[in-house]
Amino acid sequence: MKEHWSDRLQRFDRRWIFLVMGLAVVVPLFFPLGLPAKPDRMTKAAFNAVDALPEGARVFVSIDLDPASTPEIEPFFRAVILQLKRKNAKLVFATTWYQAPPLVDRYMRETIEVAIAPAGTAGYSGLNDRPYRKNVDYVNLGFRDGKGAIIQAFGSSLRLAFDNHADDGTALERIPMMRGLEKLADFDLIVLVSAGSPGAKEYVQFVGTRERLPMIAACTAVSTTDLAPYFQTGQLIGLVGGMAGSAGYETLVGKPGAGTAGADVLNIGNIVVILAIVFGNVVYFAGRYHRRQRGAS
Amino acid sequence: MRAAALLLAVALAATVRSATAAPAPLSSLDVQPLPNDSGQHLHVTWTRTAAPAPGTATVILRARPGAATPDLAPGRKLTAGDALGPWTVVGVLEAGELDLTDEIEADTSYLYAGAEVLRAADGAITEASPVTTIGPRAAEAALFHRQRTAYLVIVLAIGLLIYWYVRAARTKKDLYIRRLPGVDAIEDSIGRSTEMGRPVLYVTGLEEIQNIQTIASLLILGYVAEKTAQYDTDLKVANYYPLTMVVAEEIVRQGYANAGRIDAYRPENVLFITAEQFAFAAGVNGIILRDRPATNIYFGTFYGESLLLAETGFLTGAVQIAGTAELTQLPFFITACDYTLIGEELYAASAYLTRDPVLLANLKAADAFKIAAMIFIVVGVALATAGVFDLGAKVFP
Amino acid sequence: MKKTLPLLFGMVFGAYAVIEFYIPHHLVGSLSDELRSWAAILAAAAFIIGGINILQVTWPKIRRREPDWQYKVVLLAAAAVMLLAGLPWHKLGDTPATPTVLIEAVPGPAHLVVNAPADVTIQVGAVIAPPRPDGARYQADVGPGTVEVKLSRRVPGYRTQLAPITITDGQRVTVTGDPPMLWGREGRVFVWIYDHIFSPSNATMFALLAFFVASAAFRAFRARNLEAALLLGAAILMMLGRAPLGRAISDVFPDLAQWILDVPSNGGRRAIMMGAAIGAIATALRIILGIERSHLGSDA
Repeated sequence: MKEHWSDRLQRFDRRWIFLVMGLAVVVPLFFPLGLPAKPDRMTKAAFNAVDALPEGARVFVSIDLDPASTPEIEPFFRAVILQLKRKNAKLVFATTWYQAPPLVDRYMRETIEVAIAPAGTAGYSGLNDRPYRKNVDYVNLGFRDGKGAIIQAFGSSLRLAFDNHADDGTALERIPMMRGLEKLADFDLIVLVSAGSPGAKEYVQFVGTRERLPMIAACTAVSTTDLAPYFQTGQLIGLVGGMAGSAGYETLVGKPGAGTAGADVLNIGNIVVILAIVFGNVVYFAGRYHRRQRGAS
Repeated sequence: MRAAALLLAVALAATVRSATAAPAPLSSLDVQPLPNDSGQHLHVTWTRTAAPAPGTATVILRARPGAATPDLAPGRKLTAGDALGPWTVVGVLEAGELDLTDEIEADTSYLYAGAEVLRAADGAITEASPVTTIGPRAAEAALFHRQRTAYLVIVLAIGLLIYWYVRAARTKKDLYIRRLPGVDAIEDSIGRSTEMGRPVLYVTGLEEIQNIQTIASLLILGYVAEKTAQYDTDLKVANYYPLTMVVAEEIVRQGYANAGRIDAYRPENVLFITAEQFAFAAGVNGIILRDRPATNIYFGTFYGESLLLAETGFLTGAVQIAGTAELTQLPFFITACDYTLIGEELYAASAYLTRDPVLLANLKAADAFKIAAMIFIVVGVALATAGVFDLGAKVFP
Repeated sequence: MKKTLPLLFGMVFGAYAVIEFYIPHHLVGSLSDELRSWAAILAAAAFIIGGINILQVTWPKIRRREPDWQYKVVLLAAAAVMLLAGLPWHKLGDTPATPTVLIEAVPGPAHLVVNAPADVTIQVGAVIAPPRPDGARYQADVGPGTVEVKLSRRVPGYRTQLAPITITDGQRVTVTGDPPMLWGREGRVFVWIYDHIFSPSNATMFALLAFFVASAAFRAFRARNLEAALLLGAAILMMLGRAPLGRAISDVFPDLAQWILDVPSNGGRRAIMMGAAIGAIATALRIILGIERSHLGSDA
C-alpha cells in the first residue's frame, strides 16, 4: 500500500527544522523588522523602582551570569547601569558565579569607567552619564563562592564576606563611599542580574524576605515563571524576564541596544516554533484520520 | 543712646553665641541585648530633646569597663573604627538616626558613650555636646531562636508523623503507594539495554553532593547499579562534581558487590566530566553519540542543559527516564523523555524501589503533612477572604 | 563498622545541621563556620581527585588509540594550557618593573616627556593623552607640582604602571615605561582564552537550545488528549504574549500571557514547590534518622 504523506512526514529529517530556525535567527539580524518592544508590567515595575531612587542612591548590583546568558541579560544590565549613572548612584558590584569575574571586569571597562551615553550620542535624547571612578563612584567587591551561604553572609556582613577588601585589594575602610554600607539592608536598592543558581531565588529566600529588602531582578526567559511568584507577592519589586524584558527595559531607558535588536530574532524564532507545533499537529491528525479511514475500510 | 547701643551689643553677642552654641546632649541613651542573638550584638538607642541642627552628627563610642569619659575635643575627625584612647568609635551617624546595632566580642561587657557634634566642612569637630555614658552592658546569647518556632513545629510535626507511620508499618504488611511508571520502567529499560548490547547512562545532575536532589539520585543509583550488574550490562555514570563522583563510585561498587558481580565493576565507568555547565552537556552528549546507550537516566538537579541532553538522547533512540524538582526544566524533560518523575516523585523513588515498609511509611508521613498543608491553605484563604491578613506574620515573623 | 561509621556520621552531622538553624548562640555559629571551612577544603581536594580521574580515564584511551583518541589529546592539552595560564607566574621572581624617571635641568617651563609603546595609553593626572599610532613620545609643558603619570594598555591582562613625579620649572622629566603582561585570572592569556574560546563555546552550546526547542516542539506538542491540547495552547499563547510580536498583533496576547503566568502557572508551580519541599524534608529526615540506608548497600 502506498505510504501516506503523514507517515512520510513522521520520519521528517529534523535538520530541515534546524535550517529554518537558523535562517529565522540570522535573517532578522540583517533585515530588522523594527517592531517596538513594549515593556510588560513586571519590567515597568523594575524601571519605576530604579527611577524612584534619589540622586546619589546607594545600589548593590549582583552580577551572576555566564557568557551563555549574556544575550538575554546583558542588554538589561547596560540599560539599568545607564539609568543608575544618570542618577549618580553609588554602585557596589559583586558576583557569586565563578565564570563571571572576567565578564564583570569587561563590564567595568565598557560601561562603568566610560560614559555609556555621553553628550552627542546618536539616537539618544535622555540625560547623559559620565565615566565612573573606581573606589570613588563604584566599588567592585569581586567573586565569592558559597551559593546560599555566601548570600546569607552578604545579608549579615558584606565586609566579613569579602574580608574587608575590594577586588583590587583596597581596604574597604579606605573607600569613602563604603561608609555606612555594612550589609545589604544598608543599600537603597538591590539589582540582581541573575542567570540561574545561585541568583535571584537565593537572594529572595535567604536575605530578601527576612530583611524586607527592595530588590529587582533580571533573569533568563526560562526562569521568569520561577521568579514570577516572588513578584506577585512583592518579594521582588520588579522582574525583567529574558531578552523580551531586556528589550522593553531598553525602550523605557531610551537607549535601544542589543536587546531591541534581538527582539526581532525572538519574534521570528517564536513564529518558527509555533509553525513547527502547528505543522506537527497537522501531520499527527492527518495520520490519525488516515489510520481511522484505513481501519474502517 | 548709649543704653540703646549697649542693648544692641548684648543682642548681637547673644546671636553670635547661639549660632555657635554646643549641641544638646543625647538623652535616654540605652543599650540592650538583641533578642534571638548570637551574643555578639548590642542595640544602642537614644533620643534627642530637639531636632538636630544641620551639620550635626551623632558619635557613638564603646570601651571596656573602667574607661574614663571620652573627650571629643574640637579639631578631631572621627570615623567608625577610630580609636580615642580606650574608646572605639562605633558609628558616626549623619542622618538623625536614633539607633545603631553594634557587633562586639561575645561574653564581654562594654561601656557606651554618645554625643552630638557639629562639624566643619572637612569633617573636623567644632563643637561637641556633653558626653552621655551608660554601662557596662553585655550581649546575651540566645539558646533558641524564638522567631523560628513555627519552622521547628513543622519539622517536628513531620518527624512525629514519620514516627507514627513507621510504628504502624511494622504491624501492617501492605502499604499502598500509587504506581510510578518512570520507576517501573527502569528495570525494563535495563533489560532492553542488555538485549541491544548497549550500555546504560546515568547522570546524577548538576549540583553538589549536599543538594537533596543529588542525594535522592545517588540513592536510586545503588538500585540501578545492582540491576545492571545482575543483567551484565555496562553502566556509565556521568558526574558534575568530583565529590559526587567519589560517592557514586562507592555506591556503584557496592551495588555490584550486592549482586555478586564485583568482578564486573569498572571504576573507569564512573566519570567526572567537568564542573562547567555547557562543557558538561557537551561531554555527556559526546558519550551519548559515541557509546549510544540504550537507556539514559537523568535524576537530580538540571538547568539549561536539560533539553540538550534529552534531545540528543532522543536522536539516538534511547529510552529516557528523567526526574528532577527543578520546575523550570520539567517541561523540557516531559517533552523529550519517555518517563518523567516530577518533584517529590524523585524523593519517593528509592522507597518505591525497595518497597521497604519503613520507607513507605516515611512517604505516607510526608503525604499526611501535605494534607495538613492543604488544610492550612484552605484556612488561610478563608481568613484572607474575611480580611484577616496579619495572622501569617505573627506565626512566621 | 564499614556501614555503621558512615551512618553515624550522617546522623550526627545531619542532626547538627538541622539543630544549628534554631540555636543563635555564637559557639554554634563558630562551629558551623569551622565545618563549612572543612567542607570547602574537602570540595577543593575533590577537584584534585577529579583531575586525576580525568587523567586515569583519558590516558589509557590515548595510549590504546581507541576511537576518537585525538579528542582526548585536545581535552588534556586544553586542561594543561588553562592550568598554566591561570597560575600567577608574574609573582615569581623579581618585583614588577616600574617606569624609569629621568630628571634633567633644562631652562624653561616644566616639561614632561613620556616614552611608551604605541598601544599604551598615557594619562597625566586627569588628562588622557591622544593616541600615538606611530609610537612617538608624548611631551607637553606641565604646571609645576606633583602629578601622577599612568601607563596602561588598552587590552586587559597587563599591569598598570604608576609614576608619581614632582616637577618644577627648569626641569625636564622623562618617564619611560612598558606595562608588563600579567598571568593568572587577570592575565592576558587567561582573559584572551576566556573571551575568544570559552565565551563563544559556552554561548554556542546554549544557542543549540533554540534548534532543539523547535525540533522538540514539532515532535512532542501533539494534541493527543485534553491535557496535551491545553499544554500546547498555553505554550502558543505564552510565546505570542511574551514576544513583542504578540503585542503588535493584539494587546490581548500579552495580557493573556501575564494571566497564565500569574494564575494557573503560579498556582501549579507553588503546589509542586511545596510538595517537593515537604518531600525534601522527609528525605533528609529519613537519612538523618538512619531510616534510609540504600546508599550504604542493600544489606546495611
